[in-house]
Amino acid sequence: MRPIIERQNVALLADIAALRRLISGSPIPTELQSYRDTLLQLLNHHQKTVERNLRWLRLGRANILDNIYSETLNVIYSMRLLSDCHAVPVLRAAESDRLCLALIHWMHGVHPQTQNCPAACVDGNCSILPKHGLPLYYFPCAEKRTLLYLPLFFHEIGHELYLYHKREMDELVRDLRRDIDDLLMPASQRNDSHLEQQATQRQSIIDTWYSWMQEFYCDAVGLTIGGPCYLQAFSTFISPLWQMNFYREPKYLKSSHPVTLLRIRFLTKRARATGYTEIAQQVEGQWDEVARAIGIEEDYHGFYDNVLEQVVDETLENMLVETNPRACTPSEAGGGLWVAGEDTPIRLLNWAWQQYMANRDHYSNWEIERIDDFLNNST
Amino acid sequence: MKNNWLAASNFERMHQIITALNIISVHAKLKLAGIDEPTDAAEIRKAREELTEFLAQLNTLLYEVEHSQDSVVVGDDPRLGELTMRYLSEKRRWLQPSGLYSMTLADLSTMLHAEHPDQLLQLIDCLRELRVLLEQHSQADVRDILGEI
Repeated sequence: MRPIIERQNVALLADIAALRRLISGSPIPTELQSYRDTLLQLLNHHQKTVERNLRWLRLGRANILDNIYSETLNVIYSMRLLSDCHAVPVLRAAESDRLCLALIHWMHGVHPQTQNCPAACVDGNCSILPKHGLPLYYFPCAEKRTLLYLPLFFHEIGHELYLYHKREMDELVRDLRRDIDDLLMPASQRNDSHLEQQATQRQSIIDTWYSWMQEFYCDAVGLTIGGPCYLQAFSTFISPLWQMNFYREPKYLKSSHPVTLLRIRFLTKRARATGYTEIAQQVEGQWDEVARAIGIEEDYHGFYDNVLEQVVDETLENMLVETNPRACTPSEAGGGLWVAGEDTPIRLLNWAWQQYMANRDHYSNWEIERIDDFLNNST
Repeated sequence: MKNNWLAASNFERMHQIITALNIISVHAKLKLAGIDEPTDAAEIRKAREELTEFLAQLNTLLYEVEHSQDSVVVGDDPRLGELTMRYLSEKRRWLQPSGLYSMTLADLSTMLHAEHPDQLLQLIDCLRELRVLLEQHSQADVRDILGEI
């Protein structure tokens, strides 16, 4: 076993050197410079671990081989994660990434938690691979070239903010899950095999709510940062025409994301409370219209009941207070007359939706000029 | 919008805990053999702190499960809940549990600072069993993030 572990560690040193050369030699836009520096620091960290493994091996002690093997495996996984995911935005950097990178750069800069945290973006379904100090955003390749869907990044940074306050946020969500368990628990419990079945169902529901609550929270973060443009981007991107966004069979409810209609309900309620009444009514109206047309009756099979609404809302408020995402100002929400270099991208993104809704035919030309202005003033 | 944030954050946490555990374990083994420690003292101290914090978190959850009337566990996050259930199921497999499963996690936490050879031997055994448990538990995250070939 010893020679195998040693060979593997020597091979890892070569892999680290090779990846370092690739990362250092790749042409990248300036927005990716600090991300690349952090990647190189991470490689140095892995190199030190491998060197420690080799130092431990040289001691010739058979009884520490299991620990060296375990540490070697850790580096193998980490290197694979780097090569598969985190190194990709540097190795495949493209000019078209700049729009997303500029927005992410701004978004990270206005939050104290992420101020010194470089991030990158690669093609993929909207999501984030959160990691302390090196989050990686995924965004669809067509949508990343337009201003309209960029507000969806404000949802994704919610996951990163959650990670920075994980202990406190987990406590808030734990309290909520306890409340949910109490509220959804049957008034009487049978003392037979049915009890076990009930307990399994309850466990499934409160486990599911851990993920659901993080998604509801990220939606609330998206709306807080982006204002009306987030609601429009979210509703349009998710699309009210997908039947699965209204109803799921019980076996599919135990999913990482709540049923979209439920997310729309919470989002539009929050939007109305924030003063975005018109857009909230417009969006909810569209979803209700489709729901009526395809004959949907809201049924969450015990995973949600209106009795939970208040406790969910209260927890969301506390989560927002804990993480304190930057709030969209009334003038930013009002959009219009964005001035490059002076106004924030939030105003631009709200303006973009106003332009798009007012005149879709001329939107593309209008957008090209605004993107140029934004990029020329963003670094 | 896909979801791998839960797997990613659990992967990062398990990775950190396993490394801390290995550092303490190697330190104990070398100390027992009377070999000069090649690992930095600050690194060992940090490893102890990380492992102590993790054991305290696991212990709290364990208390909750053991005192729950119907084995429904809320806990901090579902992945940690799963780990607690895995630990309990392993502990209940044996009529007379030994090593890690014969002591409380609070005792193990205290033992991380052990100096006496007998205690060091016990610590090494417990850490080995804990590592096996954590590595098995984190396999699901590795598969979720890196996939299979």
